[in-house]
Amino acid sequence: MPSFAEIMSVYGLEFGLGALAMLLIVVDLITGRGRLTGPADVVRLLALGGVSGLLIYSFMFLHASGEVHAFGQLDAFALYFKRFFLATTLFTLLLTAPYEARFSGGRAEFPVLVLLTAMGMCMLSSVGDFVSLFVGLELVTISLFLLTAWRPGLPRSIEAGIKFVIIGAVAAAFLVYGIAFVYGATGALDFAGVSAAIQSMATMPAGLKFGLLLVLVGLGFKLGAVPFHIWIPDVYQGAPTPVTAFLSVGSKAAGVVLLMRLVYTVLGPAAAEWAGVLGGLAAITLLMGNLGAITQTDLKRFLGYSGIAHAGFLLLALAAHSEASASSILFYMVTYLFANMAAFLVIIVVSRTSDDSHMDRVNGLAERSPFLAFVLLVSMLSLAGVPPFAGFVAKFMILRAAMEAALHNPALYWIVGLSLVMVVVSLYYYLCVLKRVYFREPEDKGVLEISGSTKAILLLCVIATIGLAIFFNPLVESANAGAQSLMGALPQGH
Amino acid sequence: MTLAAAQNSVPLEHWLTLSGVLFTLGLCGVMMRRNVILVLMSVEIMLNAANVALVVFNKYLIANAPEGVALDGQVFVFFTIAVAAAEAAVALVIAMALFRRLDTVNVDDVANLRW
Repeated sequence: MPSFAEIMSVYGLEFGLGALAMLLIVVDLITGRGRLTGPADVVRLLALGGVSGLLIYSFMFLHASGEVHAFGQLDAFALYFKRFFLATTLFTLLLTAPYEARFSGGRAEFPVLVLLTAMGMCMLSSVGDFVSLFVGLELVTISLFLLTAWRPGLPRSIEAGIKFVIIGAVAAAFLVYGIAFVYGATGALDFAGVSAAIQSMATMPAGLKFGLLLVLVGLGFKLGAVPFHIWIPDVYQGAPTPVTAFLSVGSKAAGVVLLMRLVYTVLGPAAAEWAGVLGGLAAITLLMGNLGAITQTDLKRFLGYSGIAHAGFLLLALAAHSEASASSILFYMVTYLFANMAAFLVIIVVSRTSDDSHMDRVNGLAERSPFLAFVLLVSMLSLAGVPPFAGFVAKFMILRAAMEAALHNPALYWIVGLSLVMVVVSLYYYLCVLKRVYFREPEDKGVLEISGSTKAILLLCVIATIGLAIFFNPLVESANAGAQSLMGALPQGH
Repeated sequence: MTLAAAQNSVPLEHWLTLSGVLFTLGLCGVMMRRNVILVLMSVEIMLNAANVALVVFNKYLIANAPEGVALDGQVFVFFTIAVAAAEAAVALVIAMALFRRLDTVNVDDVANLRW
């Protein structure tokens, strides 16, 4: 039996997030629901303060340890992702503030569900067996179902919710069915046991391959990889914008963290056999995302397809399977966080009066608010991977790692070539949005007012996006440490 | 023949066929049914197919190595049942919101978001 202190050493942040969520419910109950909705809403301030506190705590007091417990571990990789998830949660809560007026109710419950989702996400970065993987993943997914349908008065929010529920539940069924076959073939549910069983096999039996494929597909749902990418455009468009932002970064990272743990730790050396499957999925995902994005006329839907394209890049890095490619994924996620959060906050501001996200809303944005136009420029070019923005460094790192891996696996050259073509395609559609911003006539010539706090968040994203392209070393170092801890030692038996 | 012996005489393949058939039926139901409630029921069938597989794998792992095999497969089933219940509750809430707002439970009628 692990002691309480041992569990807290790994899952302390999760307990913190859970306790904070419970505290918010109680505070809301005491202060009287619905009465405190102003800018100084005590529930929101508590949520923001609590998450910032946990983020600072994780930087100052939490240290990676090489110890592997039966219930999980806090290695540098897990810690990197826990901080990433906390930052994503903080951004989501900040993005909710300018959006909140559109909620018909449930303003206090909203941050509670966001915190519970964050709890699941942080848990996923440490998990050491398939049972907690499944429970953590469903904690994330089920909370996100509710958040997606958070505006029941709005048909598109309900529609997004029901589509998300059905596809999410099917993906969960695929995952459990896959886990059952992995269990049947290896006789273990913990990663260490499964990994040891796989190392001892000369060749993988068909049942194990089938199970791993289903697990891969079920996790690909979170990432937005083919074939479970179909929910992305609909759900992104229909969900309330702060939730879309949370989904696009947090949910994708949850898929990434689990796939990395599975491919690098559980499969280990056997992952070489899977490079073909991952590479093939990467190629199809890149095609679907980039070609789908070209014709979009809704900003959130457009960012959904762009998110599928980014998932393709992440899968390419997974297929490359080296320490350099693992580290490039970690770096990529952070640049994606800042570029995406900035884009969604701009969408929240420009859709303030019309409450939809049609691309016409950004027409002539440069005239209405040069600052917002500049933010969108930085965010789109970073997503496209143009220097001097952080997205360029991230894409460059992934492609360099993939080229190195291609020396041993020539098929990767084709996928790298395809991804380069797709970068050009993506540049076209990102520039189409910017063309609207700078060269179209605005529908409404009025100047867009931006509050000071919104300006500060946007400025932070812009500075981070440009700063990470120049001073990338500190982040690359911590990404390298994360990748090393992931690759380093195979888990010991419990 | 004792009851236990009779149970052990069912080969693993038969159980896996049962679970595979259930899973396929559920998947077909999800893809072909148009009523949201029936789609959700089909998903439950898929999850239960996975539960059957987990339990029988556990049973045969024990039969092959009586010493030192835990019941983790069967314990996992309790987790999936609990999670599936939570998932069903949330799904039904959203289905109810759908019915209240759009007066339908047919998935073909909710197709405003496309392409």
